[in-house]
Parts: sequence; structure tokens; C-alpha cells
Amino acid sequence: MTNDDTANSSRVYRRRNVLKSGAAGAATLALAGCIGGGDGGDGSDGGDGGMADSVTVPGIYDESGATSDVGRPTAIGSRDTIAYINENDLFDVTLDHPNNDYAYEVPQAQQYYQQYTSESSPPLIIGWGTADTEALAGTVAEDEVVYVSASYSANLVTEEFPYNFFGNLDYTSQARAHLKWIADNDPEATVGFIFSNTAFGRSPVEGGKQYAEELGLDVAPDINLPLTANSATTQLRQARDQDIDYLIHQNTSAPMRVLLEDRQDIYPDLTVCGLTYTVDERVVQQSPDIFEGVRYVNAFRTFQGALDSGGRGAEIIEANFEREGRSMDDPEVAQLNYVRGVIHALLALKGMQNAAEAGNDVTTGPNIRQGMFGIEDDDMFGLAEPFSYAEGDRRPTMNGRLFEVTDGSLSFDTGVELPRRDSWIGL
Amino acid sequence: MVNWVTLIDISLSGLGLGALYALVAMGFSLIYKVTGVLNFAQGQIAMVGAYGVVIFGTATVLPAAIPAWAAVLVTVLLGVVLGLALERVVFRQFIGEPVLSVIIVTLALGSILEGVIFFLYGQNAQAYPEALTFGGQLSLPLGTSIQAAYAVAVAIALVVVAVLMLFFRRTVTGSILRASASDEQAAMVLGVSIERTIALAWTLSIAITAIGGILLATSSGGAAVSIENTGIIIFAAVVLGGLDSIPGAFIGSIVVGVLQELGSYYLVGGTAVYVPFTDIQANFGAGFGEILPLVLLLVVILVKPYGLFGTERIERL
Repeated sequence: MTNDDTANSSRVYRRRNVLKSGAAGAATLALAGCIGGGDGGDGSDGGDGGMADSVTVPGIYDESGATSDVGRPTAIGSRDTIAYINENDLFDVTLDHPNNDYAYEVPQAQQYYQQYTSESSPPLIIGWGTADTEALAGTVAEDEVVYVSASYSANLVTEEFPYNFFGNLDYTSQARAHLKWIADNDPEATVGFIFSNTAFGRSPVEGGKQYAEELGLDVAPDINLPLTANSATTQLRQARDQDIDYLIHQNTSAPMRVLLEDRQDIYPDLTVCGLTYTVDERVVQQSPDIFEGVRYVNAFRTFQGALDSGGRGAEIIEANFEREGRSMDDPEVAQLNYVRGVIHALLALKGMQNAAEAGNDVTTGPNIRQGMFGIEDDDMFGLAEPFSYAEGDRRPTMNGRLFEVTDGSLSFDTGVELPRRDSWIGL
Repeated sequence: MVNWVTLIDISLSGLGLGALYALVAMGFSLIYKVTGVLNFAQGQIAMVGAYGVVIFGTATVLPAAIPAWAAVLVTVLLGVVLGLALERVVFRQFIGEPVLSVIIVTLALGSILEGVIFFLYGQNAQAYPEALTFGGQLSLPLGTSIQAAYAVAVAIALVVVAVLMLFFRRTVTGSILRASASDEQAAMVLGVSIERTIALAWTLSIAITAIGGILLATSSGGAAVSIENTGIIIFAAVVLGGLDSIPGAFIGSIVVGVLQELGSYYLVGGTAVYVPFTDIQANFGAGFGEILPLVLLLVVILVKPYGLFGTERIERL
């Protein structure tokens, strides 16, 4: 055999093997995709928003992606509550709720948005987090589709994004609520901000630091803790060496646990004050020792707090759990993020009810947007601090509910009322 | 003025972090040394190891939990079984095939393992049984200390590197593995069972990596999907140390861990050092600690393309 023959034979051989390996890889990747469970939605078509007796309110959720630990219970809360609304005739018009899992992938969110808007022109979409909300903020304004989501960046309530709504304190005001409590209780304290270096992480930092200085607190330089951190020893040494007494943490629950695990060894005297996504009942129950003493803020109740409120909201949650056969003892769902999802559905309901009461067509976004401004001092059936939305100020509330983790549960500590300053819109 | 106790403490933390990486890195290096395959599923294997303890040690998936120590043992044994099964079902089919084919399979394997964990737990981090959360610190001279979990990691990593070095240098099986790594065709002609060597390599690699994953989870309070990111970090470590050198993987990992910790403290944020004779703080911004080892990697690769301890191959063109 000549060298050329060998080379030709080798080329054919290589090509065959590349095809073979490519096929093997593709097949196994496809299998992995199936196992991973891409589509957690119900897959219903919806799409009859034009009919007078129904309106389409799609959902774009994260049930398997990077934020699905909190996204999934939120999605379940919204779905359950829309089913409740329809079954109990809370609204004369049936809410069709096609929904999909976008797995925190922006292209997927955009694809679902295009699909929903082209199929049924929905007046309102229930979205999820920073990834989809920021990617779609400009588009929903252009298309005049109300977008209710759980991204609480103060930037989303500026004039630039008129169709975005959320049901909580904005991130910066969550930090401000902690800071106000610190200033009232420990005015000589030094505070610091620890966050992931992302748009979500940085969101409350500038405004929070300005308010801390205004309150006379010492502010230490920022500390970075990535979302994917497996260790926080260096960060805690930085906090300790800068004499930080209170660390305001904007992140998710996974890095929060890493931070708290290392806090025990490096800087046990540090008080960690978490914003809305750092703590929930599931992680507290799993690791009660390390979460002990952690402070937390929200504008709505915890799961148990919601049940104890005894209002219509508690009834809805109890009915949902009974109808769906869920366990009240399962913190995977029975947690504050479920309450978050219920509130999203209730915001959609109330916006539509107000539009209908005003005699407007509930299938158009601008009418629902006006309907949202009819929500005034509304505590979401007892689940939250009173929400009010106005054309010039879409911050639903300036009241924070502060909690402290004690003996493995989130205990309500006190409420904080922040001033409603125009200068804070967008900051 | 640098506080020496702080400097030592941070270096010790880096040593511990590096030791955690080292176990995963040595698993990677072992496979490359014996089979020439870059295993891109290494991070996912570590993650499966971490979640294995949750699966067996807590009643989250199975109806009942077994004791924590047994859960660790079962997870490591599962790693052994997985190694054998992968060799029998997958990698045996690719003997004699181009390495690229196997690399693609490792990518797919990573996706499958990730999919299984996501199917069972979604993206939820899971707490470890209390018996496996080593709280406390180990006091050392000069007022310094190291976290207990890191101390355990350093001890285990040292044992593993020593055992692997002895295995490769002092045992017949180790020699066979080295022979087949050096020239697979020649080893086959001499009667070496390539299937067995590959099975052994995968088995050892996955078991060591699973231990690394378990220790990573132990040090951070539980299993989390972020453990799979270790697959990227250890790639830097093994390239730094030399892809086919197990001691190199160990040393590379330690260097990466120490640089990461020192960089995060002294070159980022309020604790950043001041440039000598100026009042300018050398604050390179968030995340620079993770970048610093990669900068060193770039320098090392420019000077020593095969890494610090890698085998230099001279090929005729």
C-alpha cells in the first residue's frame, strides 16, 4: 500500500468515525434533553383571546433552568390560582393560561413570547425573572402587552418600560428596608453589600449605598459572591477585615447557603440580611443551623403567614392544595415563592376586573394597563402589604416585611415603611 | 501593610480549595494519561458524586435514607459501577477509533448526567446529612487556621496522589496502564487487554472524581449544580500542571486554588492592596480572583506548552 493509499483510506476512515461519533453524540444529547425535561408547561393552545367569554393570559416560566429552584413553585402558584379563578368564577371572563418553561434561556423566552403574541394577542403575560423581563421589556412596551413578572429591578418602573409591573418592593427598596431597620436598631453599624456581579446582583447596590450614607451608617466597599460560588471564605474574611456588622446580600439561595456555611467558621458575628431570593422555607428547613439569625425582607407573607392571615388568599391557597393533591408539609411547593406566584395571578385578575368594571375591552393591553392603575391599597386578599399602582409611579408598595430565621422557620419581625420618594424611581 | 496571619489564612484556604479541585483534576488527568481522552464530563461526574450522597443519605428520592457514611460508600461504589458500565457499554465501542469520537461522547455523557440530576432535583441545591457537614476550624501555629472540611480535602488529596503515583510506578497493572497509554497498538500486540485498562482507568477516575464532588459539597454545606463548574476550573489546573501528569494535576490545582483566593482578597474590593508608593488601590474588580489563575496559565503555556510537568512529545513532520 502506498502512502497515498494509506492517506485516502485514513480519510475515509476518519470521515466514517466522525459521522459515527457525531451520531452517537447527537443521540445521547437528545436523550439528555428528554431526561432534562424541557417543557414543563401544559402545552395547551389557548389562543381564543378574541372571544368575549375568554381571554388569553400566557405564562413564561422557569421550571428547569438556572432559577428554577424558586421559579417552579412560583409557576405552580400562578397556574393553581388561575385554575381557582376560573373554577370559582372570580371573573366573568375565563382566563386561558397557555404556559411554557423557558428554562431561563432568553431565546426561548423570546420564542414563546412571539408564539403567544402571534397566536392570540394576549393583553397580559405572566413572566418570570430578569432574563425574560429585561429581554422583553422594550418589546412589550412596543406591543402594548402588560408584563407581570418577578424581576424587581427599580429600572423596570421607569417611563422607559411602561408595561412592566411587579408585586413586591423593588430590589433597592428591599435593601433600604433592611438599612432602615439597621439604622433604627444599631446606628453605629457598618454595612456592606455582597452580590453576584450581574445586572440582578448590582441592581440594589448604588441606591442602597446612597440611603445607607443618608442614614448615617458606615458603608464598606462591595464584596462579590458569584451565583455559582462553592466557597465564600475570602468574601467573609473581607467582611471581617472591614469590620462589617451587617452584610446585605442580593443573590439566590444556593450562594446564600455557601455564605452561611462558611460564616460559621470565619465570621460568626456577622448578620446577613438577604433580599427576596436568598431565603425561603425549603432552604431554611434543610439547613436550620446555618440560617439561624439571618434577616430577610419581602412585601408579601411567607407560606405559613399567608395561611395564618385567614383571608381570601389563605382560602385560595388551601383550595389549590386540596384540588391539586399537594402537601402543606412539602416545602418544595409550600413556600413563599408559591405565594409569589399566587400574587402574580391575582395582579392579572385585578387588572382585568378593573378594566371590565370600567366597561373596557379586557383583551387589549392598554385597557389592562389602565386597569392595573385601579389597584389601590389592595392587600392581594391578605397576602401582601397594600399595593397601589399609578401612572407616574408603578412601585406597588414602599412597605417591607422584615423576617428573622429562628429555630428553622421564618418569623415575622417587624414592618418598615419607607418614604415614597420620586427620586427613587429607577434607582 | 500586609497582615501575615491573614495572608497565611488565605493561602491555607486556597490550599484547601485547590485540594478539592485536585481530586477532580486527578480524575481528569488519569483518563487523559491512559486513554488520551479529554473528559469534558468531569464537572458533571463530580456533581453526580455530590448528589449521590443526597440520593442515598436523605429520603428525598428513595423511600428511606441510609446512614451518611454508608451513603458516601455507596456513592463511591456507584462511581466504580458507572466506570465499568461506561467502559462496557460505551467506550469499548470506540477502541481504536479517533480520540475525537470519545471526546464527543464525553460531552454527551455530561449532558445525560446533568439531565438525570435536573430530573431528580431540578436546579435545587440540597443540604447534606448533618454528619457530613464539618463545622469548625483546625487551629495551626502562629494563630492561623484552616477549615476542617479543607483540612480533610488536603489529607485525602495527598493520599490519592501518593497512591496513584505508587500504583503507576510500582505495580504491574500500573505499568500496563502506562504502556497502553504510551502506545496502545504495541501494548495490544504484547497481549495487554486494552478493554481492562480502559475499564480500570474509568473506574478509578470516576471514583476519585466522585470523592472530589462529595468533598466539594461537604465544604459548602450540600450538593449544588454549581459543582459542575469545577469542570472548567480543573481544566485550567491540569493544563497548567501538564495534561498527562497526575502530580502535575495536583500541583496545578493547588496553584489555581491559592491564586484564586489570594486574587479575590488582595486584588478585589476594599481589601485590595495599594500599588507601592501610591495611594492607588489595585482593585481589578469582581471576579478577578477567578481570572488570575487563567492569566498564569497563559504565561505558562507560552513558556512551557506541555504544562509544568507534562510529557513533551516530539513528533516528526
